Amino acid sequence: MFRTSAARRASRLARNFATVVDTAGVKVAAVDNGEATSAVTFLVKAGSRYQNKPGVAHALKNFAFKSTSKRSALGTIRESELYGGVLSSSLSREHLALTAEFLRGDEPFFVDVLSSFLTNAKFTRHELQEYVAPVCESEATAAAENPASRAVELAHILAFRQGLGAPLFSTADNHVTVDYIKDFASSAFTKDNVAVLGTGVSQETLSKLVEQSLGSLASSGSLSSPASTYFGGETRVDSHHGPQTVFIGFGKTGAFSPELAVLSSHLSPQPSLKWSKGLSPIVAEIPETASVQTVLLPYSDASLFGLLVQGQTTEDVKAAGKAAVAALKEAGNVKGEELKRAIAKAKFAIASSAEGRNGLIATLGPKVLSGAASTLEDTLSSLDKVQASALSQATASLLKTKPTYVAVGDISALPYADELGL
Amino acid sequence: MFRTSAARRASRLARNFATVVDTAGVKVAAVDNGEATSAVTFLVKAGSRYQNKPGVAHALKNFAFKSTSKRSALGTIRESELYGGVLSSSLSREHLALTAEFLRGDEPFFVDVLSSFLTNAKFTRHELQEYVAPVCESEATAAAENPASRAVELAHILAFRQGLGAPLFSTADNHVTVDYIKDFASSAFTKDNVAVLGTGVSQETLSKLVEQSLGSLASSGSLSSPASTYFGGETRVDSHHGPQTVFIGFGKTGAFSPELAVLSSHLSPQPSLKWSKGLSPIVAEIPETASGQTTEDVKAAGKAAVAALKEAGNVKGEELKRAIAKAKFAIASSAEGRNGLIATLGPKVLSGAASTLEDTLSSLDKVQASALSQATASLLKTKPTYVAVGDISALPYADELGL
Repeated sequence: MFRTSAARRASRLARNFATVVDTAGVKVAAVDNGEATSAVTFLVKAGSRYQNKPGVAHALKNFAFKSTSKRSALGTIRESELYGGVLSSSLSREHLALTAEFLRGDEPFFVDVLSSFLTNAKFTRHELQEYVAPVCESEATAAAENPASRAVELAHILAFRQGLGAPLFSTADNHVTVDYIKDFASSAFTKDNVAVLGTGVSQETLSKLVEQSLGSLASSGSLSSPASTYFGGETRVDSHHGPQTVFIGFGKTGAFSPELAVLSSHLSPQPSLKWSKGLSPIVAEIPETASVQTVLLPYSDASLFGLLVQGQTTEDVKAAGKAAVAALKEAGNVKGEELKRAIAKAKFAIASSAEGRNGLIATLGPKVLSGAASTLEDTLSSLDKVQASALSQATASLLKTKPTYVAVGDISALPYADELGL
Repeated sequence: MFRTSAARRASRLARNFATVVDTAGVKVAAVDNGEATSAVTFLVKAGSRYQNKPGVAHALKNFAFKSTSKRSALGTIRESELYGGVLSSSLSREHLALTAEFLRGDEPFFVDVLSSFLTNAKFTRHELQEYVAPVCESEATAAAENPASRAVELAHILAFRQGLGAPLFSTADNHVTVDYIKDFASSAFTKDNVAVLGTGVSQETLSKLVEQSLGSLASSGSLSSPASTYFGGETRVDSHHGPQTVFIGFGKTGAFSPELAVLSSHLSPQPSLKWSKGLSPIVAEIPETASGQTTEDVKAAGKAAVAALKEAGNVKGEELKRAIAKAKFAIASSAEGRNGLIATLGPKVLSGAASTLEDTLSSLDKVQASALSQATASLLKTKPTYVAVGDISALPYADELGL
């Protein structure tokens, strides 16, 4: 990937969307580090949080690059391949991202492909039936069959109920129709809801292209989502394949909290050297056949923090869960060198996630969309400033909230929340 | 069914297993009201509560009347049909009941059929694979597809965890083998775990037959279950067919409580006259237009039900009398038929106490308004058991219903 080497380059590679240009109402930000390929991402506030009917956001994401007034679906595929480009769409709970990666110089075509989905997609019924619905069904099934993702999905439902708790995936039982999708698209695809992010393109080129193609979008739409509230709760779901799984989560409202990131990296059993045990306080206590992961999911106005415990047997999960909860309760007392280690680990995690293209968009894109210019340095320096007292306060207030406890596997044998010390 | 009519009979029909005779270690009780048919039930403490591996009790119940050392499965069926009898087995969380109904005079054969399952069942692997496992699977699936029974099953798991919370049904994933079943059967089929109940047979005949056939059983076994504890909890399960369902439960430990029965009959929306609204405090609050299909309906009805439950502690006077009368009638009429009689009074025989219906009914009569409100208050203080089956994103949560 890209390495900063003083010998080779005098100036730092730009890792920021420092300049956000308002182009006819749409936020455009680009950074050009001289890569061989370019990429443009249209980031839309059309995540599952904003859907008015369950499953619509997922269906909209899978409708990307199907027929528009300008090109048929097949035409889009053929032309993109002729140019040597790669198209993709992805969905998170808050954002829909449409990305095109291509060779330098092909910006006009690919910006046009992405824009036409926003301005004149056809959303035909036969495409829904033949292409979109089966893909939705298979993605939903794959997520449901994986106990870890199923547990995290259920945790969101319990933790946030509406908004961030809306189901991410769409199944056949949702009976999504093209009319629902059209409704959702027309309220989501407005100028104030879209940000265009480019890497390997120049700001001027991108702004000019966006002005041309997105000029016809409506200025503002009716899409909104009430502010998140954290509830918490407990549930157990039967599953017969995959490891026994338990998710122990806590939530808080408010913007990204550096204390939470430091807490997460302090507990995270992921070692810095593969196959070593690492220095996490959890690892020392859990059985060899069990695994614990920390999960930190920050959203724009809430965060979900949790421990994902997995094992082959429910006894392993129970032992590992107890150890993890005990370590979490102790984590508030971290200070001195341990605190430094946790801060360094958190900084590295965020910095390295912004190395690649996808990571850069995922980390900094949402801030562009919400209107603030954002740099990686801001985030990293906020982590540096975390004090031991602030960390212990944040941990204590987190533990006071109602936990979100999800058990996936053999529900008669998996532990209950009170058996793990919650 | 049987009606007590002063004009026709001078004496009351016996509705009790008043005399329990200890026959070589096995409790035997019989009552004979001169019915045309007879029935004998072997009640065994082998419910899902006592199973050591999930699903074994269900498999054992479905193994009833398969091959024994004496008769093949086919032979059992043919001989029973030649006699004109009906065999059945049923499972509850605490008991396994094996029942034979037959014409008067055929007691020896049918007591022998029932006993041979206890003493010398073969539990062959091919029968498990070909007959028992598919029946277990289909019964489990039928229960899981019904949102109401699924909700109640999950409620048990949350409420009691072990013992009474053990799963009632057996699915393929339990991987039950004949060895597990043999183990369970040998620890459950002991003399102190079995009661023999007969209707339409005389006590002496039944005792003699039981002494002959169950004499070889072990005296006491190793089956035990720790005392129940009530926990409570919450869970939501996705389901795409059937009505949206929510179960709001509370539990208590201890023997049968007449106050709880009166509370239940006070709130029960089941009307005494079909198609009428009835006098339950819940029914007045549920919207008329509620179809019951949507989660909004469930939310409104749930709120009304919880509110009525909280108010129910204040019942007194005529309302209390109504509730007591309804509870008495429910229990009395459930003991009218054969199955109901065994279900209501059988367990008490098994636990060693002679039991009469009158005892239960008079305990209901003695329920006071103060005792009822106390029982309701302590019930509401426990952690509720809340199960939602249906569209989990839309169904209400426990705190949205006022719990």
